[in-house]
Amino acid sequence: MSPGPDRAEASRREALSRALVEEGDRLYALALRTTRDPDLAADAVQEAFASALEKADGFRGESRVGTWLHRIVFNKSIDLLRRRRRYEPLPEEDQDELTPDDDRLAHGASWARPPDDVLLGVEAKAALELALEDLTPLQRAVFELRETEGRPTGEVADILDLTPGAVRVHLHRGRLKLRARLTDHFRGRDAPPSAEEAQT
Amino acid sequence: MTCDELLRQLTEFEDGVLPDAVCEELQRHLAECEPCQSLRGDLEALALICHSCAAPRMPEDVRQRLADRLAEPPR
Repeated sequence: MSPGPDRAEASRREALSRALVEEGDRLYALALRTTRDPDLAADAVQEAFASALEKADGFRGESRVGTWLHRIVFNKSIDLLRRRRRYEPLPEEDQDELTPDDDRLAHGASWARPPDDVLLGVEAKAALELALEDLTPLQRAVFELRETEGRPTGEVADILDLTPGAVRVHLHRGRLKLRARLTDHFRGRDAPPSAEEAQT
Repeated sequence: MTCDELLRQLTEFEDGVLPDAVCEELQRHLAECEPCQSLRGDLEALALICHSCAAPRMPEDVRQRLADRLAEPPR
C-alpha cells in the first residue's frame, strides 16, 4: 500500500531538507558557476527547491535526490539566463562534436609551468575566475561538476542531460579556452614563442 | 597517432574508456611529443588552480529561507 499524500509530502520534505544540508553549497556553486550572478544563483536554487516540493513524482526512478536536484538547479539557471540575459549563449548553441577550432586552440602557446606559489596564488585564482567568462554557461557547468567537484562523467551527463561523449567534448573545449585565456597571465614577456607563433 | 587525434581523445583517456591498444598508442605518443606533454601539463596545472579555489557557499539567508519553507507542515 502506498503512503497517504500527507505522509508522502512529509517524506519528500525530509529528503529535501537532508539534501539542503548535504548538498546545498554544491547546488549553489553549480548555479553560481552557470549564471555568474549571485542573485540569479540564489533565485535558481530557491526556484529549484520550490519546484522539487511540488513534483510529487520527481523522486520516482531517480537513483539520487542530489542528482535530481542538481538537474533542476541547472535547468532553472538556464531558464533565468534565458529570461533575463538573452545575450548569453545557451546550451543549444554548444556543439557536441570537437571542431578544427578546438584543434587550433589546443596548439596555442604553453604556460611554461610557473612555480607553485605563482600557480596557486591569489592572482592566478582571480585570472581563472575572469577567464571563466569566456566559457558558455553549459561549459561552465561541466567544468564545475567534472573538474571542480570531480564527479564521474556519467553522473555529469545525467545531471546535464547530455551523453558522456558530449560532456567530454564540453570539458575539453572549456579547458582549452581557459588555458588560452590564462596563457597571457602565466607567460612573461621573455617567454619563448610557441611553434605556431614563431612561424607567423 | 597524430597530435590532434591524441588531443581529441585526452578526456576519454582520463576517463579510462579507451581500448587498451589506443591507450598504449596514446601513451607512446605522449612520451615522445613535447607539445602534447606541455598541453597536458597545462591542463593538470589548470586543475590544480581550480582545486585550490575556495568553494562558494550558499548565502545564509537563502539557506534559512529554504530550511523554513521545508519545515512548514504539509498543506
